[in-house]
Amino acid sequence: MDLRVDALSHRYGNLEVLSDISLDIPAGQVVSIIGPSGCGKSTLLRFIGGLERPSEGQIIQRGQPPEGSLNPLTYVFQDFALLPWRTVAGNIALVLEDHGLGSARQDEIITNVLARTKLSEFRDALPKQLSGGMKQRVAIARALAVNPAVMLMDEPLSALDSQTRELLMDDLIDLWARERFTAVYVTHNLAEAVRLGHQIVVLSRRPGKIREIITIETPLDARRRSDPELASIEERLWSVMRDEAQAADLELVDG
Amino acid sequence: MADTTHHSLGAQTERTAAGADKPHSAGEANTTVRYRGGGFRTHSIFWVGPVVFVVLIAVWEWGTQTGFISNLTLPKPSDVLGTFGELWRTGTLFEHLIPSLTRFAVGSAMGCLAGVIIGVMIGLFSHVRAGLVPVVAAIFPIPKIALLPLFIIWFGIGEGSKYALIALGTFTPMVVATYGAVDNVDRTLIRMGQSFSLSWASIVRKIVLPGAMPGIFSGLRVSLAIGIILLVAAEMLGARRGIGAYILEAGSLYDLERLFAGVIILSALGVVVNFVLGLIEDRVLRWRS
Amino acid sequence: MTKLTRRQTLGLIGGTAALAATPLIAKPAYANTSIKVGALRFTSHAASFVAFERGYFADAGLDVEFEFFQAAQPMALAIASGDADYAVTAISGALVSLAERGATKVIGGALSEEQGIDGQKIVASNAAFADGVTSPAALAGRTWAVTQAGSSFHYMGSKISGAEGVEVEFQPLQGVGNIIGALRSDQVDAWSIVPHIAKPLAAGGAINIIGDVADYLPNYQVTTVFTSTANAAEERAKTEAFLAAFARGAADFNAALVDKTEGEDGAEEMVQLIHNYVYTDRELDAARPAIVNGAMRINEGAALNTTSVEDQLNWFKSEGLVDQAASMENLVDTSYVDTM
Ligand SMILES: Nc1ncnc2c1ncn2[C@@H]1O[C@H](COP(=O)(O)OP(=O)(O)OP(=O)(O)O)[C@@H](O)[C@H]1O
Ligand SMILES: [Mg+2]
Repeated sequence: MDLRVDALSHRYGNLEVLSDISLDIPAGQVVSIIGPSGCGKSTLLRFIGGLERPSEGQIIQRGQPPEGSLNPLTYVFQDFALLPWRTVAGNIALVLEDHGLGSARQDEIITNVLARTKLSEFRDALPKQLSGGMKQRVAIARALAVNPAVMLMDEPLSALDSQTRELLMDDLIDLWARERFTAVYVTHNLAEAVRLGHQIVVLSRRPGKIREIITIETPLDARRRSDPELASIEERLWSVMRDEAQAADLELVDG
Repeated sequence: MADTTHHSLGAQTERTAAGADKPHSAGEANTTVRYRGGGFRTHSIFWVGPVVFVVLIAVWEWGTQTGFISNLTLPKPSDVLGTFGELWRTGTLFEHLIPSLTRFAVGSAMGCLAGVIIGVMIGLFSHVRAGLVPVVAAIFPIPKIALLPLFIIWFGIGEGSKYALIALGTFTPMVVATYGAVDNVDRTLIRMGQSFSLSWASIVRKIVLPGAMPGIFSGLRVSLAIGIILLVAAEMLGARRGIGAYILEAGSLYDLERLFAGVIILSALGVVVNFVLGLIEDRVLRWRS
Repeated sequence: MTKLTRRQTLGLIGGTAALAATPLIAKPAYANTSIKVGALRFTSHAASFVAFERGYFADAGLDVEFEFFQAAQPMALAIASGDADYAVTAISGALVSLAERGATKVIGGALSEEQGIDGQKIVASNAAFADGVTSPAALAGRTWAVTQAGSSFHYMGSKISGAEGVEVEFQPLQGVGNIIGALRSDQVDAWSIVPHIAKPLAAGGAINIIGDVADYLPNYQVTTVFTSTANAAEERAKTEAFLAAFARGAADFNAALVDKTEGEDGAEEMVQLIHNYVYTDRELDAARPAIVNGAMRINEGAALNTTSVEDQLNWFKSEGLVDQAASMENLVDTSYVDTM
């Protein structure tokens, strides 16, 4: 299933947030979105997932979601959004319970996604007992449990320290190598965007417009941290973003 | 704290010794960095509370024994204790305690339950909020005691009016606490629920209600304390039995020993209720960090 | 005729009362002393109002300031705390307890029940009345309203039901207003109350009068004059001056409204005087019947019926409402007035 963002614009009252965004999200690819703070990345992601309606334009879905997908468009949140009163397994069960799968099937799914995210031993732990990286892995496991067509990830790693971030990034790359999932990956971090994105969409400062779309041909699992090609792409992205970021930084917050 | 000081002193001596043969310019003395991170942090010292209690009561007993405190001002603690003994031996304690506990339990259960239900509705539905928040705000400051004669006409002089008084008194703070708690449920969790297409009922039951629990519990603490306060008011009219009636009777007879005994029972009731609530809270809110 | 009866009683008990010479005529033995007199806005407190309005307090050298209360109990506490010097109230458990603690003393008598004079009424709610409670004998198993345990209502209810050999259940309702509300709505069955409250309610069909308290408690000393122990023991001249002026007020009141020896004009003048203090929220015409109806005898010379007081004290003890050791000596200072 592919998604297409079609001529999308949005304003909150007088505040123009996004302007004429058109974008393809082909199945099996990760699209990274970067842009200065406040340019509307999270807002765009909310439109893509249908949590909000844009003022203009639309999101078009091409093809059917895969068989057995319980929640085709599934978010992974920056702050994990785990229910603190439920265990790891309970948090995953939450998104399955409404589908009437029967407890055996539900249990099977939970065991499966926990294994895939290397969380099996933490099945009965409460969120407060987990580190930030573990919590995000639980959130990813929860997303995988509903067998999504597209994962919508809003800065999933930015609440984590840099070592954990590296580890989790490796996990995500592994996961992609195995499952070839489709994702929209919003981030501030150029290195993340370059490591994980098949395409990198650069947005301008608010109102967000597409400044540039960079496609990287190197397969995800072949990318190395020290790869000079990636470093040069990162350098280029930074030169594009630098001015935008600086200007955005000087704007009054409530513009 | 003492440990740290000791440590740095040791380090200083060591350094001075080690650097003894190194040339020091005159007047360059070594000093320890002054510790200035103390205070502003309370830690529990378990024995102070009981000691303060014992000292207070001892002074009080001494004062009343010697006549330094006149028996018009305060009763002797030993006499109050004697009154307790009498209450216990004659079985009057339970004669008063059981009706009061029943009134408290029934009244506050009705009030708190209704309060939580209305509070959740206010938290969830804009129309209910618009309609009921002003009503609740209007009821809240009414001294419920003032309505007692009215309740007697409505619900009878028996238990009905007493339940109603306690129920109304616990209801309003519970409503306010509950809808505040619902409002304070982490919006990102609700958004998460929606993003997984959970049904409305599931979101309310699995996200909103558990998320509002901490707020509901703190509301319960306030409401139940009010419930105990209202016990005395509820037993003002038409009650011969009950701790509140006992206190009122003691007051009207200027019987200070019984008055104090009754008041102590009420405050003990408050402590017990709070303790039990704490236990339940620890279990139910085990997930809190 | 009633006067005779009372005098006879006085004579009979006179022997015990020879302790003190009662100054019935005020002399300004004590000049320009300011005192605070506690009062309720009831006709039963009229003696103080009369003494004030007619200058008897001033004649006695007392500069009186009234301190008004809503109920008898806070008034007793105000005397104990020294916020008021003298007051008139029914003998209650609180008064006995305060006296036991050395705070207050009864020094004279005020309102008395007297057979032949319209006194306190026994009343029943409409539902109870319709159900057969037409006389106090039919009170078995009924509820009896009291303000608080140990109040005069409790005493009367207990004595009346005891005399009829029936059991009643006492229902504490704190205030007279609450009791009237409860009677009107048939929440309680019976009560006893001063005639100026009973009669208008009965006339309005809200309650039914089923008997007279005086039939059960003849010579019941309903209210007494009391003061702090310090005043009674150490301020003899001041206390005597107060009682003398009070007694003059009482004599005027009795003459005008109880014995009616002053004629229409005298009665009317008295009603107007009292109306300055009582039922001030009503027009004089509306207040007049209530004031006239409420006129019960205030003891001449503030004499005190110690027999009745002792009976009340014993009742408090038997009910366990006050300390078993409570004594007449602690409660009453008989050195000021005649006792009966
Ligand atoms: N619900 C809303 N109502 C009004 N304004 C909003 C709303 N949500 C976002 N905005 C505004 O829209 C702009 C874009 O917000 P958005 O959160 O999408 O930016 P972002 O690119 O995700 O920023 P960041 O990098 O800080 O996460 C901001 O100026 C924000 O204040
Ligand atoms: Mg964002």
